[in-house]
Amino acid sequence: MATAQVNPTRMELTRLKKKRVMAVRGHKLLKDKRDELMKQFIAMVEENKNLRQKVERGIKRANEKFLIAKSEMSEEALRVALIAPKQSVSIEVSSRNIMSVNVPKFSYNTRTADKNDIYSYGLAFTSFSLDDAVKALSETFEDMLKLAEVEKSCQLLAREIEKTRRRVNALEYVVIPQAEGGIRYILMKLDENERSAQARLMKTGATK
Amino acid sequence: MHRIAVVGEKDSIYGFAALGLEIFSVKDSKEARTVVNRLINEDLAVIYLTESIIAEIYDELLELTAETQVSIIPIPGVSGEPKLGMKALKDSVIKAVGTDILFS
Repeated sequence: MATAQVNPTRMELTRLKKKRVMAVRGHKLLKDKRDELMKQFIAMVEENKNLRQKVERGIKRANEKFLIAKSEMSEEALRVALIAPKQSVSIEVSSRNIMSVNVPKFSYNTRTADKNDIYSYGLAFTSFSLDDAVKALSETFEDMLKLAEVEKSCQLLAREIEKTRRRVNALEYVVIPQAEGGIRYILMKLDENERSAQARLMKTGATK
Repeated sequence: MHRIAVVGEKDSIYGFAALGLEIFSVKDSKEARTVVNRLINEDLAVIYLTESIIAEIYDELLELTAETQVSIIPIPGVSGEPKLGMKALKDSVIKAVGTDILFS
């Protein structure tokens, strides 16, 4: 590999040796970080996949029920029934630290004390299918929130893994070989200088 | 305190209003982009978008929210089979691991 131009001096040699030691240590640490991140990521992705399947199934079922409800009621009645929601959800976001990646953690609370207080309409003018549909959707909601948490975490972890992998590779294939090449070059140059000095001295007869 | 939004075509999302989520009905991805752009700067934590709306702008939105705590989550709408969510998951696996270990 073409090494960068280095001055063949002892000072430079010490500097490069220090740099190599540091790079090797950093490489080991980052490799460990990458492995641990990967381990966490695999577990999380598995969870993400299962949750997503569950949520997609749940929403699909709810949508089917809404369709039935819609067919049994007039468009206006449906709109009026859902126009003023009784419930309101807000979430508290805290963060969890996985190998220095801050992933979000959600906990939600509802405005009214009863979580199941979701029917925002009188029962007289609506079809019972609507109750069913709203209920189905609310059952999926908790999983949806969990999905959001896990999916965001997966994205953040994937980013971090990619970054760490690039760093590991850069150290392994660029920084360390370059330092080693530099060290070899300086050692050879210094030896060569020494030999030529020796030869010169011998020629002039300064040595026996 | 953070809020949750659902963005999508009207027929797919009106049910979420009953649960207490904020719904934003949009007609196409262009409109969705404007809405999401606005929402990101507010105190939203999770934005759900229906797949048909999000399809074209998902990558862009991911890039936009990568550094923030806002989660952009695709959910299935009334029409069409959901596939984007799984594809996104697969993409993030490929990004991290280098190969698809999830579905092979």
